[in-house]
Amino acid sequence: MTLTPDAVRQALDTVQDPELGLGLVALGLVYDVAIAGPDVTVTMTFTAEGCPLGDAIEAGVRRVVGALPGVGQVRVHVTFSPPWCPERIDPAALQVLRGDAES
Amino acid sequence: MTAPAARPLATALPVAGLAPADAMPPFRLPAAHFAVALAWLGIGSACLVPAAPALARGAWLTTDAAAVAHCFTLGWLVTSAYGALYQLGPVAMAVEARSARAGFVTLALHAAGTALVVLGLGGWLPGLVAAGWALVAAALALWTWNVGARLVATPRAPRIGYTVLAAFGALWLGLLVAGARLGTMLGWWAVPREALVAVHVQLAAAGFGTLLVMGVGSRLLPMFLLSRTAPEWPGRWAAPLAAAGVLLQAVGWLASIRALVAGGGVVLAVGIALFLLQAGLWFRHRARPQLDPSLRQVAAALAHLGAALVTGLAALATGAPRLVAAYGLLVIVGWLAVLIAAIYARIVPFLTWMHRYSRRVGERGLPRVADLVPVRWVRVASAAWVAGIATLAAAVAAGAPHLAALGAALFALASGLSLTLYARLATRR
Repeated sequence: MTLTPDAVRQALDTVQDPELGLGLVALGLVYDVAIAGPDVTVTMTFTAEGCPLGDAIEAGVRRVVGALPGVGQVRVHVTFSPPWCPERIDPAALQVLRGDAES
Repeated sequence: MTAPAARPLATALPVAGLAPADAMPPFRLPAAHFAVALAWLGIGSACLVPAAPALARGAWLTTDAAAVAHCFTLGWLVTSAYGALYQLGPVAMAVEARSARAGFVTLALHAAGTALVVLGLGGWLPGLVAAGWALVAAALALWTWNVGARLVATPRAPRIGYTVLAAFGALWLGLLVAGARLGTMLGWWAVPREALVAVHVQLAAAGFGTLLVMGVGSRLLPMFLLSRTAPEWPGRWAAPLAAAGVLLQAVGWLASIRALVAGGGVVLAVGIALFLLQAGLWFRHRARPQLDPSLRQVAAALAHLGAALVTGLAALATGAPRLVAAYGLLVIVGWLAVLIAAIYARIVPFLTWMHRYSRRVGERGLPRVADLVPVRWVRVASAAWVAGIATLAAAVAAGAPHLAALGAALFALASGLSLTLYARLATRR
């Protein structure tokens, strides 16, 4: 099975923000997925600098990407440049968020 | 077999390790503060019920009112602030405590000091109040060494750091003024009581409490609301004007210069109005139109601050004791106590989620933070808080003692519901 950025992104979207209930890709937090041989580098951000869930989310990323077949090392680069903004949320996910009244 | 590496964003700069795990204090340090603070919320809310009728008679300088006010200020507000800053300092300002052990000692000194102050004021025992004052001062000195002094050179977010620093400066001044008042209680010297109490209340509520919220809130509110695109210009002016206004008023009262008191009041009012405008912009630019119960409660607290602003200006113009009492209630209980309760309604479930599930991020079937909290419960508590404050403030301003007791009872009900909810969250597996 070929390791593709799409497959990695699909795996990354299973890591959800526990407050918003959306995956990392749908939230626009994943800036780049680079694959070099068996190694995967994920460049991503958080909704805010010093996000208290940062370490847990990084560990989740390593876990789900590392579980993909053929993946060797997983590197996570966290960046705040450019900073995340709500406009980065996937339009379909934004609809879910907008209708998400009391949940 | 291997896909070509996608080109990374040109501007992307790895900045991992912004708040390394070793910079964070042990979780039990803020948690212990939050538990103590919640106990004070319960005590203050229960004691507010018998104290409310006297406030509606315009008697705001009573021992009961002073004792209850200190449950909310020293107990609920300052204890929460100490605890929250151990957690927020490293992530929001890159400032961490020198020593977690000193943090626990600070909490013990502050809790004991607050208890003595409250008991001493309630029973009119100046010696006990003096002992409590000394312990609270020792706790503040230790906190200043442990965290506060480090805010002078905040590596990140200096505006937040300086605003928090100004807030603690106001707390120090408020404590010194309390010391001066204490001297009159012990018969050491004579200073006009009303001026000292007015300065003390403004330094504590408008100076410490409101400046602290202006600083920390400028970080938390846009984060909670996902509204980072909102213009920030009103917020840049709000804190300096509020701080200047409080100082001018303090000098005016202590030097008996009426024009300074009035001018300071106007400057403070402009600062608060700008903060309310800033908060309105954060709410208007939010990505999520529907507000969850805790953010609705934040909005209610801001509305109480707006009501306090109007009542405060009316009290300043007329000097009517019932308006002064209504202002004190609105700013200490309606604004600060309700706002902190709203923040707890947000962070306690979040911290519970972190504690239980953060090691399992990425697994399927994990609950969301909102799933941990019975929404109806929070909604009822929030409604009782708002109804309680509205009833209480209106009853005090109008001079209706029975209605004031009813408003206080509604407020106490809201506090009881919240405390029960948090106890269930903490103990349920």
